[in-house]
Amino acid sequence: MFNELDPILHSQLRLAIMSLLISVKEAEFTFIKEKTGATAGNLSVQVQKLKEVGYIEVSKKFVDNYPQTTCKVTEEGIKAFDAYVKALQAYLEVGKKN
Amino acid sequence: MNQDTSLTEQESLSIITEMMQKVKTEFYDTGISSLLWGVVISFCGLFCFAGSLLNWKFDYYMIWNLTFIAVFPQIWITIRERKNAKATPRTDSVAAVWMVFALSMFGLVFYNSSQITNVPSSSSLYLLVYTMPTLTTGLARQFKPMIIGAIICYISFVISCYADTTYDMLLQAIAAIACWLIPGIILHQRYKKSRARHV
Repeated sequence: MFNELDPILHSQLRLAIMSLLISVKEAEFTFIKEKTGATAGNLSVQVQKLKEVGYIEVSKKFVDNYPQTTCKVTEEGIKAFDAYVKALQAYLEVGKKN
Repeated sequence: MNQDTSLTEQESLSIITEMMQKVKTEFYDTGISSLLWGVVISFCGLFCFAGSLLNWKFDYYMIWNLTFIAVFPQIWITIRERKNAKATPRTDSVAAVWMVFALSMFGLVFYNSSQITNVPSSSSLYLLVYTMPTLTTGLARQFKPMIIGAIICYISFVISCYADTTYDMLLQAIAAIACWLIPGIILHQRYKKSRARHV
């Protein structure tokens, strides 16, 4: 039996955000925007969704009078990503056999 | 990137790989710290070599004090690089190795200066060596018991520089317990727990 792929993560931009954040301790919003190539508005919406489900933490502060948004993956986010990758592997294994 | 696009498993995998690859190439070294220390240390070495060869009459070894002065630009470089970084690596093993190296250098200078007024004892140096793998592993793996163990070992090292050789043995035992025995017990318990979960 297959575990269903997490619908929160099974989305192009949200998966890209999580893949970036899983590899770092924390990252600025501008960094994620640059690497994913998404628009600021679109990215904001997806970051908010990931925050709402508890997969990431978002902190805002002022650095040299400029606002700085930093994102960090949570323990729950790491577990969800891990489960997503395992489910993905299972799907791909079956795909290979067929 | 469009978040509404329906994904195949293969596409998901390629997104994960692509993003992780992008992060990998993000963390590069500016090389400024290497340049700084390369210039300072080679200059001091050549200066002392010239002093010894030409039999200079003044205390040319004082030039090594430049290494202490060079610590200040190093701190400034580190702060600036961290401030400019848009992302922080999860574990920075290279930074851990260089940090341990810097602490060991300070430890050696401290040892040399303390031996002038105290009984020379090479046992203290063993304690300094004990800290190296312990702190590197602790920082690289974010394993607090080993970081605490290394701090206890540094304290033991400082005490041993002023203590009698007999007490050095006691300090070595304390350091070994803090650095390896306690972290080892914690790691082994974690290992047993994870094995029990997978059975």
